Amino acid sequence: MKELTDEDLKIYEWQLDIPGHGVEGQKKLKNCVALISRTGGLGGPLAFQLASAGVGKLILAHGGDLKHSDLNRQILMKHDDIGKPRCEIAYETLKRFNPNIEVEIINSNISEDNVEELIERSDIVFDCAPLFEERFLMNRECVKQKKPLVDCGMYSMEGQLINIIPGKTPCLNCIFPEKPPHWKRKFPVFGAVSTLLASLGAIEGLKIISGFGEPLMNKMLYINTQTLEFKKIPITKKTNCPTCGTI
Amino acid sequence: MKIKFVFTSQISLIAKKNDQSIEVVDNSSIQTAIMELLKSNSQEFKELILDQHDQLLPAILLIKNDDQISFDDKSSLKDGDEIMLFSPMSGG
Ligand SMILES: [Zn+2]
Repeated sequence: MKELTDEDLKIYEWQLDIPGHGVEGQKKLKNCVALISRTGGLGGPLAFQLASAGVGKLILAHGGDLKHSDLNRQILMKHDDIGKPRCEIAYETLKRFNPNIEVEIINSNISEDNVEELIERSDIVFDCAPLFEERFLMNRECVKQKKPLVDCGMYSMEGQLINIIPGKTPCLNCIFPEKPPHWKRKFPVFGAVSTLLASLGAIEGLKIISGFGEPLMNKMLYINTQTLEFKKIPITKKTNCPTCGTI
Repeated sequence: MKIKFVFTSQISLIAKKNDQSIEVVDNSSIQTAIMELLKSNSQEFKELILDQHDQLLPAILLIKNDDQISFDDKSSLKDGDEIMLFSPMSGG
């Protein structure tokens, strides 16, 4: 296990006194590999928060180049970089912010071709993907490999957050056996809302990795920022779930 | 009695509102209340919630006050109950 350096102790000084975290928790963050699907409105700020907290290695999987319509929420990006691969811009932003962490970029989205290998190399997975096929794929593989999955979603002024801890909580398919029909890839959202959900997802991840606080278990957080309503909805594991029913 | 439906994500976008209160007969079940709600909404709205056999789509959750209930729940709703129609969200 990698130890904290003198510089680590200086950089993370303000978070080491968080009850239940401390130097031991910070060491766990330093030795953690986190996989983040996409570096967009959710994945980008989430990766930034993990980098700021000192998570030792981030693997970012995101295909595609930066467009104008990404810039209202994808805050790791810069206007000057329109047309460049988003994962490369994310890499530059994160490494400039925290050069002491390792950032690996995959210039493609998570798919059947890479999901098994990427999750094998990770300790925790953050699902910030727009497509339900990709989300279900990560869910299936995390359940199979018994890796925690933090699932973040947003739409308009709303958000959802679910922690999937295989063997302890329902999986994504227990809650949503199928994707919603008539789903459209483009939906309304403000960057402030995606950043909020990203921060909450990062907080859940930090709690799970370090072991402090009470991660959201067997509940789904629903947020409506139109009304500032936060609601924790109980969710239950389905014994006949095709994905996690046998574990 | 009055039942308040709360809409989420793509359902509220199509409904163009966040909630809707409707009058239903006393002791109505969730199915009866949903069918009543659909009378004052568009076909597009209906297709986000029910399949072609008028069964709840697997992706939609029904949250009564603070707990999930099933579409087949035969228990009677009470005046003032709030039902959230929850449609899953994603990233981007
Ligand atoms: Zn399951």
